[in-house]
Amino acid sequence: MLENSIAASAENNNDFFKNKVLGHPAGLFVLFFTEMWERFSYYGMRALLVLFLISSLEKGGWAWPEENALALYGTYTSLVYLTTIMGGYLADKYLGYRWAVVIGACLMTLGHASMAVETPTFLYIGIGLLIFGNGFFKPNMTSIVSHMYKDHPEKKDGAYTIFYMGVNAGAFLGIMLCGYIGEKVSWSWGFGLAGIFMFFGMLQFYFTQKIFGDIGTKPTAAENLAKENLNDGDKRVPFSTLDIILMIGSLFLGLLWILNDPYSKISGNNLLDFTVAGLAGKNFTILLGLALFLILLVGRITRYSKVTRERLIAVTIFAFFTVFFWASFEQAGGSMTIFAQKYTQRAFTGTAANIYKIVNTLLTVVPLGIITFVLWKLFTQTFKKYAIGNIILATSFVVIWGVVIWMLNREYNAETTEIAASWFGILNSFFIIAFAPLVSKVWESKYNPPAAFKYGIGMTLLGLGFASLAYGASSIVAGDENIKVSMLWLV
Amino acid sequence: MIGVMFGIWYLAIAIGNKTAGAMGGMINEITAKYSLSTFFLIFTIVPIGIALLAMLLHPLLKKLMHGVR
Repeated sequence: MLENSIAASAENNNDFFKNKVLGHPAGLFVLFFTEMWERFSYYGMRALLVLFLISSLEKGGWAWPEENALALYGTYTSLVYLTTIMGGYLADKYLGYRWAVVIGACLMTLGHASMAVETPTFLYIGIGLLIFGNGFFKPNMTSIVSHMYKDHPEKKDGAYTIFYMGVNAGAFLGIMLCGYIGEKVSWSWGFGLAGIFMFFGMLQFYFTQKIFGDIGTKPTAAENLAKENLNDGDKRVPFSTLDIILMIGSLFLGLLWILNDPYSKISGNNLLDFTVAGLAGKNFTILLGLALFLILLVGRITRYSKVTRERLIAVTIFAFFTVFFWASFEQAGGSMTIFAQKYTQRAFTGTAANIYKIVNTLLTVVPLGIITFVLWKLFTQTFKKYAIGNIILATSFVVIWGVVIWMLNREYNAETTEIAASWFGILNSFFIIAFAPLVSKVWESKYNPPAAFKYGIGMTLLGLGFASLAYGASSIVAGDENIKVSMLWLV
Repeated sequence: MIGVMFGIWYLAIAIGNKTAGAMGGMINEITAKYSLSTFFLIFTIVPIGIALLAMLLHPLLKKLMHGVR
């Protein structure tokens, strides 16, 4: 019985690596397209959220103060990452990666649909569904990729590069199309479009999932036991009661603070309306939460063996840096969008408008063309076996081309063009798509710098980007929104 | 140990995202008091400062990682 299943799984794996597209198993490209549509909806929605909330009532927005909109946005984007811990755990123990991905994708489709209704209640329900959906989806997609290459570690880097191209291609198209439709046609169509493609991505994944052989199926009790006994070369440190109390305490305080921040601003009711030793209630809460977490972390780290302990310290330092990276990088969907909307000259006529139209066309058609080519390659390999999944994927591409052609046509027929404020977001992902292969070549060569330096270079570039923004903004008289900065500074 | 590592990592990203929202929310306040340039200068100085710190700490980090990465 056991031998049979092992033989069957070996056969599956062989089959899996037989159907190659661009030197990688076809399954990778199924994940590529699933992830692409997921990121399409995530970034598409994100590009719109802040803009929608702060836009004036006559533009169909809710005229929220920026501070409230960004409080909600920050809470949303941070919870999205917190739930990944939960989603990863549940998938590992009970669901299996595949079901977790399908459940996550379903929740997110519902979330996007709910946001398209555009009433406050549905907006919050939508955001909640997106947060939980992402928690199931995101970590487990990556897990499937890494399991797929378990026996082929030499190909793993290449696989991740391809996978992240999917991520960026999705982000790029999502920001461009959802942003355009949301700002220029209607907000709910923009949010809805995000949901539609999430749904396509999910169906495609669901109907093609057999291609992964036995990767990511439900874990059995025996497998869980095997994992427990797996010795990773270090003694295990079980959680003590104190650990668990600290963990729950810091989690509770952290969540309370994260949720109270937008809640108190939007509704005017502060849940944490008290002072402790001169500290405002909300500050006291988050500081206490962080303190509990630090005690937990230090307590755990000191109980590991020397090597593991030092590695964990290094990871903690890197994690500390990461906080700053994201705090700056995530300005893209928040304050930078606000900057673009309020302070930049985006309306064009004549030659400048034509240049924009041509740039916009090239930026849209070229990447989409390349992705469609990859899609074709995948079909030639998998159509016989996975016709339904392929047809769904093909339909999603027909729709996306339709939307693109409609958008370009609409732009060419317009006399004056006003560039959508969300448009600038796409340049970011476009540069990543364009430069990623180059950068990864440099990393592979003998000039490969160590991780801390790579990180340093990245952060310096990020800082320089903001420096040019600061320079661009310096010509604005504080508070005077009539003088609009040339949009060049955003690029 | 892997679990703890990923936990710390995602937690850091979550905190970073929330900080982004909180700092972005101050755009109007800072613009009114100083200027919009000051607001963006914060995001110039902080990442470059962190970049320098990361490079300075590199020898230490390398020792701590014991050959991983």
